Amino acid sequence: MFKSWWWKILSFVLLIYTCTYGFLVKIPVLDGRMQQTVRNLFFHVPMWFCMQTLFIVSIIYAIRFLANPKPVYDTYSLEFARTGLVFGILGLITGAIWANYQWGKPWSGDPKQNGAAIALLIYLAYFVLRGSVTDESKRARLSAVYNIFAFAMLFPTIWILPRLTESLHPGGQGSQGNPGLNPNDTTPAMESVFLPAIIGWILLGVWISTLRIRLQNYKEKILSRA
Amino acid sequence: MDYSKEEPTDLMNSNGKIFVVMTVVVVIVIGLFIYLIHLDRKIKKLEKGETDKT
Repeated sequence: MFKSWWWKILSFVLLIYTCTYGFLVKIPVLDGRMQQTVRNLFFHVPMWFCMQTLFIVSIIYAIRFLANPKPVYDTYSLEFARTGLVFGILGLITGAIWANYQWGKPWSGDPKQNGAAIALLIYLAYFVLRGSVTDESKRARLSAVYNIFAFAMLFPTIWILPRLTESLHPGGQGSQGNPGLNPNDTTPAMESVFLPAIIGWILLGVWISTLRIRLQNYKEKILSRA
Repeated sequence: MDYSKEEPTDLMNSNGKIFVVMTVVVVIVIGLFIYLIHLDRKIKKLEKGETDKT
């Protein structure tokens, strides 16, 4: 599965489709609110979907490690969390670029911005924790437990708290529920780019993670032989 | 010279030059994927050498 090429090619095709048709697809006018920046739906939003997916894979392997402490599960958990964090940071940066032109400044303390930043800091602490324990089996067990906590913190910081207050995010006014983009603003044509974009970016994230996992496994094999 | 008032003469200059940005992004994505494929094959070679010895 890791080494087969079909899903890597699929990722390439989907992303090329996203990066071409994403610029050409007809977008709604929305009384000039977002203009062309509504196309960020195909680039900024999938970063968060990708991050969320990679964090889910990471916690699954953390739980599997706790049930059955194989070192390879720890490697999986670590590398998926690492790539997830990279995508999260990309999401934060791309969001700030967009916000600079849409909201007037890159950081407005929007509940979603703050929540995402807190969530990412909690995941950063995962790597701090790992770096501070030298004993390998202890490090793996501690970080698996912490991984579950970090994942649990995604719910209040990203899914619940930002939705309880108004947000500057599109679709965040009043009782619209703050989904990130008002569903009434997206057209079926936009969704035909959005969904492939999500899948393409997620597959890319998985690919990068598996490369690191394979390298790590290789390194451990060499070390165990030496 | 004000180019914006001229009629676009080719594809790259039409549509507010959006195709220029599109090409840039496509080049980035292709480059990224070439790099990843390269890495993937390099790691595969390492793994293969690994199994040959054992």
